[in-house]
Order: sequence, then structure tokens, then C-alpha cells
Amino acid sequence: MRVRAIIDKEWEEIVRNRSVFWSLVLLPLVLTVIFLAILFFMRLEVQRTGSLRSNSPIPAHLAGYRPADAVQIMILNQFLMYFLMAPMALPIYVAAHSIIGEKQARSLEPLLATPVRTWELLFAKSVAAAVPPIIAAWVSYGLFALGASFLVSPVVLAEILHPAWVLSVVILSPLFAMLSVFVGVIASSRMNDPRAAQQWSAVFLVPAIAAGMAMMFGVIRMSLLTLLLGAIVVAIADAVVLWFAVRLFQREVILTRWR
Amino acid sequence: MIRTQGLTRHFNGRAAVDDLDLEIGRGEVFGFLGPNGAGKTTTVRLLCCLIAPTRGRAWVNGFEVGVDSDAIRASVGILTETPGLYDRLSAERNLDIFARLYGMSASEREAQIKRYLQMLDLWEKRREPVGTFSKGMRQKVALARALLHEPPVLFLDEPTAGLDPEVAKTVRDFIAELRGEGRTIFLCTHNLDEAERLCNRIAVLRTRLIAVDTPESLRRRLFGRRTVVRVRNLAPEMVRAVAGLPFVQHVSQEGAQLVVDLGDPEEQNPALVNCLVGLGAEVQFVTELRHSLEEVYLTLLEEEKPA
Repeated sequence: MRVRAIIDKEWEEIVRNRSVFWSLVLLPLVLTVIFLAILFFMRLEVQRTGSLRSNSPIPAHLAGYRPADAVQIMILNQFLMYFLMAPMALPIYVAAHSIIGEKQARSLEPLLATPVRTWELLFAKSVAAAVPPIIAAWVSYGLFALGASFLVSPVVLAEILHPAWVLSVVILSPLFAMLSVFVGVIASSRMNDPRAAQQWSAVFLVPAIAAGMAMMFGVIRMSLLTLLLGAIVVAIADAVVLWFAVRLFQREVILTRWR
Repeated sequence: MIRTQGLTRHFNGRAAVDDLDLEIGRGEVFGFLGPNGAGKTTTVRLLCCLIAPTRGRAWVNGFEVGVDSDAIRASVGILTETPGLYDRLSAERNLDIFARLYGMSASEREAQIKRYLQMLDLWEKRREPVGTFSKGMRQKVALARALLHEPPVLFLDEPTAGLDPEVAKTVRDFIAELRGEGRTIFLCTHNLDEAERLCNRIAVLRTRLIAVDTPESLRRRLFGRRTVVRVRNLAPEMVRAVAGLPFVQHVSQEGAQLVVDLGDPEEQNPALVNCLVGLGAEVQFVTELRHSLEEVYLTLLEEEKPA
């Protein structure tokens, strides 16, 4: 009940602060429109010339596809990476502001004087920051798949709806998003300047971005087993980072030393 | 209801609260006075389990600080120095969130929010964002927030600081109403008139506890009891005669007034007046000289001033 109360409060504040709300949900939706526009122009190019050319060599695992399909799949993989990365990157500023924001609004002391536990507070703040971009990414991915179904061949569409990608967007991406917001919340509870918290939170995104790039360039092959193992590892990392976040949350220091 | 034993808190090696011993009973309104930096807010934070003591122990509502912290947090209400509300949310939503944090059911929340917003004349504005409220209205919402879960112990840190006199009076009257409900109220204030009106006992703190008693007892302890007699035809022999009365501790003349120190004015004033009238004095007024709580407070602080 306490977790839910804080989540509801955070969401209501986000919804009432339109600039923050749109910063969380607009980018995935805009990217969807851009990606669909690119697919549309690719389709025109295929209709006009019968194929697509790529400046980069076609990777070996796409050798069996028609050249136009191979080029589209290659580019699609990059598009899909954005749906994976957006939920990690977008909420980090909200997370980084979560504790400092309460302190600056002078609402942290009454909040900590309630029976709310530290883990409940941090978990609720993290979920509240992560969920809007996750939902925005899911909706965007769905819209992208729907739009693409009118613009690409069934072979390319199958790649968009490949279980590995679906599971990545639906499971792996939210787990990574939670990891990034937990890091953001740690930064928020350890630093008394929101700008510093945001910068440090962004630094901790680098490993997640590296993993994403490795997937995009085929260094890590996205089989279902790889995904499942990856999801388990990230889920464990989430729990560990939350545990650290609770340990590192020094309510005394926040209340008595931050100005 | 609240008890502390040698409660001490240091910050960077310096004592903010030092060796505090208090005992506050159920239903008592306890005023906590002291200059800025005296340790009042630190004491509230210690008793609300927001910070841990460096040494010493404390109990609130039967629960020990640092041992039963969750139980203490559930059974106290706190009004912090600043209201600390969520400006974008309405008064009703601000209260509802905190009511949920205290584990209240939907029907309890609805009833309590309505009760307190009506009591504080904010019901009509319940759906407006508190960011649009005046300082006084925000303070009232914060006060309602502290009371929603009906805590038996209430900590109020400067509840009327910075409020205009009208709103301050409303808040004071509201606290006076709470006094009748049997709650223990721990009131930190700089407003000595407020402390005088509301508190059963007061404590004066400057890192260490300087004094604790009822305002009247502190007054008597510091200044004794004095009767002022204004006489139209005051003459030196009258002053000498009064000084010679066995129960008079001290007498001084200030213009047409005699200021007489007495041990028990209720018993001794009639004899004093008889003596003066017997000497032909035309007595105009007989009043008790009451020292203000401010004088008491400043005298206590002055006496405790470090050399």
C-alpha cells in the first residue's frame, strides 16, 4: 500500500508537470514516426529501383536474404535498439531528481517521518520513474510493428516480430530500465546537487549501452537462451543494486547536512 | 508518554543536544523553548526516529527510539518547520497520500480528510493545488497531515512561525482544541506568548536543558511574587512601616507605587493593605506584578550563558 501510494503520487506529479511527462514519452513516439518514414522511403526506393544499396557490407548471417530485405533488416536492428535503450536512458533524469527533489521541496522530512521503509521509498520512486518510458517504448514498438506490416516484406516483418526482439523489448528492456533508475536513485540519495546526480547516473548507463551495441553489431547473438540468461542476470543485478541503494541511503545525512 | 534519559546527539564532534532528561505525560502540552541552534529540531528528529542518538535513550508512546522505530513513526504526527507539501497536487491528494502511508483504509481516509479540512476551513479548496495556497493555508494542510492518523503524540515545530496574526490565532486555537483531546503535544516555539497560552509546562534548552516547569513556577522561582500598591499620598513612613512587617521580604518605592515582595500574597495582601490604610494611605490599586514569560526565558538564558 505504501509503495503504491508513493508511485501514485509520483505519477500524478509527472502528469501534472507536462514538460517532464512529455520528456519521458515523446522520444519513443517521435522515433517511431521517423523509423516508419524511413521504411516508407525505402519502400519507394525498392519500388523505383527494385532493390536497396548499403554502404556497409551485409553481415554474414544475412547472406541468405534478398539484398533489399538484408539491408532493411540491418537497419531495423538499429531501430529496434532504440526501443531497447529508450526506457533505460529516459527515466534516469527523473530518478536522479527523485530524492534531491523531495529534499529541495522540503517534503522529505515529513515523508521519512511516516512508517515508510527505505526500500519501499526507493523502489516506488524507481518504478514510478521507469514505467512511463517502458510503456511508451512498448506502445511505440507495437505501433512500429503495425506500421511496418504495411511497408516491408513478410520476411522483414518476421524479423521485427522475432521472439528475441519481442522478449528484449518486453522483458529485458524493463529490467535494464530498472537497473538504470536504481543507479539514478542512488546518485540522487548520495549527491546534493541534481546536476551532479544526473551526470553520474548517465555514466552508469555506459555498460548497458555497450551491451546494446554488442547485440546490435552481432558480437552477442540474441538467441532465446541468451536473452533468458541475460534477463536473469539483469534481474539479479536489479535486486543487488536495490539492496545497495537501501544500504547507501543515509537519511540522517540527507536531513541534517544537505542544504 | 515521552521520556528521555541522557539523550545526546553530536554532529561532527559538537553536541547539538546534550544529556537531555525529560518526562512528559499523556495529554500534556509541552513547550520546548530555546534560541536558534539550541537543539529543538534535533530533539524532535531524535524523538521521531529521523536521526539516531549518539548516546542516551528515549521512549515515545511506550516504544523505544532506535528499537521500535516503525512503531514510533506510526504513532506520532509531525509538523516540520516548513510545510513540505507537494505543490502540484491538491490539498486532498496531499493528505490522501500520507493517509495511505499510515495504512488507513479508503473510508477512514475519506472521513479524516473531510474532518480536518472542514475543521481548518479548507474543505471548499480541497481540489486546488496547494502551490496556489497562502502560507497560512499550507501550514493548515500540513497540520491536518500530521493529525490524519490520530497520533497520540504530536510534534509541532514552530507551527505559527511566519504566519499573519489572524492565521496564527486560528492555528493556536486549533492546537488548544487538540489539547482537550488528550493528545501529548510537543511544541517547539519562539513565540513565548503562544507557549504561555498553550503549554502546561515548558522547557528551556540551549543544547543542555536549562529549566523545565510550569510557566508560573518558573516565574516564582526566578522572581518570587510581588504586589504593587499604588497610593495617592505615599509617604516615607508608610514605606518604612511596610518594610517592618514580618512577612515582607523586600520593599521598594517607584514613584507613587510600592513594590512588595511577598511569600504568599493571597494570605498577606490583606494585612499589607490594612497596615497602609491604618497609616492614612489612600490606596488606589493593588495588583500582582507578573513577569512575562519573555523575562523568565531571557533571565534563564542569561544565567546559563557560557562564561
